Amino acid sequence: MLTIDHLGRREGRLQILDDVSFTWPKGLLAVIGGNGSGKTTLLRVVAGAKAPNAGKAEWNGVSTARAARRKGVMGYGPQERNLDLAITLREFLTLCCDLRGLSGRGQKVAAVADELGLSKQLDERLANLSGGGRRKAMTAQAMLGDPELIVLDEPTSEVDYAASRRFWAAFKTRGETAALIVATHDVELALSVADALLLLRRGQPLKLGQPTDFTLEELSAAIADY
Amino acid sequence: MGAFTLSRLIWLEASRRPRALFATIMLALSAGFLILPDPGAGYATLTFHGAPLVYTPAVMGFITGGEFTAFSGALGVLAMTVVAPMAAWRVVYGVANAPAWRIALGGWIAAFGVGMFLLTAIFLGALVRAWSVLAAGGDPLSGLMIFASWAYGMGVAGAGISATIYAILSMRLSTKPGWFMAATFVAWMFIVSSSISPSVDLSGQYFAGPLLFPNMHGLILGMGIEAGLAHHAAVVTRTLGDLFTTPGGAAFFGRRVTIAGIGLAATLLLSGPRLLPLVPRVRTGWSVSKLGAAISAGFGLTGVIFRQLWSKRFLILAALIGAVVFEALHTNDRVGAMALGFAWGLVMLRWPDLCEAFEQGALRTLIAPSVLGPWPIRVNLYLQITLQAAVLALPLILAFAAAGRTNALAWLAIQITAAPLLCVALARLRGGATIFALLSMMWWYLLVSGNLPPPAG
Repeated sequence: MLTIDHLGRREGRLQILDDVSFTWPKGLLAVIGGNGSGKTTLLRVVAGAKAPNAGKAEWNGVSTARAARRKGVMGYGPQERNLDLAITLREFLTLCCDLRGLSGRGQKVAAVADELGLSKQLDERLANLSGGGRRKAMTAQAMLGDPELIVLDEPTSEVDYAASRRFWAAFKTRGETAALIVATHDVELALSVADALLLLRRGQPLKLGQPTDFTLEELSAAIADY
Repeated sequence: MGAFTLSRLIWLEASRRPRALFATIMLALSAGFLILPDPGAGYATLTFHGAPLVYTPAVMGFITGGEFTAFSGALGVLAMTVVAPMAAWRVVYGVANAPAWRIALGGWIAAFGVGMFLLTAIFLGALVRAWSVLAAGGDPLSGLMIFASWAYGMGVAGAGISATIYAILSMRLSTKPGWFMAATFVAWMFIVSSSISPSVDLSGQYFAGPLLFPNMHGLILGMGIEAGLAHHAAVVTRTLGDLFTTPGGAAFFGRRVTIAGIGLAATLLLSGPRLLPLVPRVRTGWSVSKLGAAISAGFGLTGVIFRQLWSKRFLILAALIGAVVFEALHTNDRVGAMALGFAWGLVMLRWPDLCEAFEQGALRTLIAPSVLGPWPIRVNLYLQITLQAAVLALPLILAFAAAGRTNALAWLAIQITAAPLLCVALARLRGGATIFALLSMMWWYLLVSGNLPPPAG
């Protein structure tokens, strides 16, 4: 269970997150909001990459920063995609398995590649992948080894439409056994696939509910007014 | 497991960057050439107390391994930054979410391997230069064994130290090349050269010196110009076998392996907390940086280039000047220490750019295409590097001025104006980075060896 309780995060004089509270046990939660609404900062705190200035972020009663250090608990796909390396996607994913101490790396790499439709790209060098390809690589490493909590920051930006649909289908399937927090601008896909949506505006949660609780017009208006 | 995979992939990454790899090999080979000039050549030779030195395989090995060890901290880190793009690896470390010791171990193994590879390239460079020495005793294979045992027996400690510096620093500073280079310099200059080296005989002179050189009064090896040595008789060294059969040699080698082992242990102990994924800092409010940006924006292209060159480099210069002052206070040859610091600075000023340029193939990346054409940028670049070099040389300028040494001041002014000119001129050439690095290293060795002292008067 992910517990976000009165979470606040300030960067200098800028209050990026303010009094964010929600819980998420399992399933696919899409975080929606305009540019600068606080999505990325929220996900960084959830992934344990940043500490909150106020409130708490916990996974099963343990701070997310500590939970991230436990084997097999968390997978995080950040926005950063500076993967200008000559190693192949397969080598990259194998390395991630090894560094995390995951066994059966061959099967795990093959499984995640199959799940996300990356099997044909496994032997491509990271430096030769397009922007979308590197984004896929980041998403794939986050989903290695069935982590309990998967945090993905805009995993389908720069990714083509067909691959985006496949990714969201994979997220939905993973959501049956794990908790997924996915920040996205793919509002229509999120509405049709996600189990719930969290709408952020100016660092505060505007609304958390099932997709049927939202309309496309309502989301568009909120995003435009970030 | 993860550490070995990481080190293997770093090596694989390096092998897939042939241009960078080639440039690194060329640098190391040239270092071998430089530290071991052909004893039969008419223009230069290695000297001992200012007199030409007669080589034996053991002397060759002692010089090769000793010189590599002396400069391994800087050489190893430079090679790793060239052949492995650190910022991209840092991203991988962040998302891999592995214990820091595992990543540090992987980095250490990779850097140690690269260090030994560099030593091999230097070894081969020296071998090509003076192969006839091995055959002089009538048994080339035996000569080769002696040469190799001394070179690698000496060099293993340097490879360990360079791996330690790289593994500890690169994890935390890989996305900050300016800080990384400054920290490398400080670690190499203060910790290794000033503190560790004398206490553990890192250069090997206390063990090998008395065995090899008769009448040794402080080991002073240099690269002498033949013309200046016409009146000196050649120094004949004692003939020794390989390191392991030399009395005390095995224990000496054991101590050097132990130094490498201690470096590995220090790496694991100092690996620090787990690396978090990279998160860019959000800066709000006013800062010196923002103020600088606002001012420089008013000066258009000149302002932008000025800020680009001075943002982080200034900190490196501060570290360099600090190191030069420290060295100058702890040596009898203060001007020599300042000159050496200045030579170092000239190399290091463009170091981060060189690393990137190696990957891109040439320094041309510095001369970004501009609607104004390349010349305004080149002129700006030239002026900025000259300015930085002048700041770096300030202690030396003051020392010369105080002593009234006008010739030396002119000598310095030529260097300050020539080096940036060379940098900008080579920027137009493919492979210019390699040539610049080679020339810089040659210049550096000349000053290090005491072969190019400031002119008198």
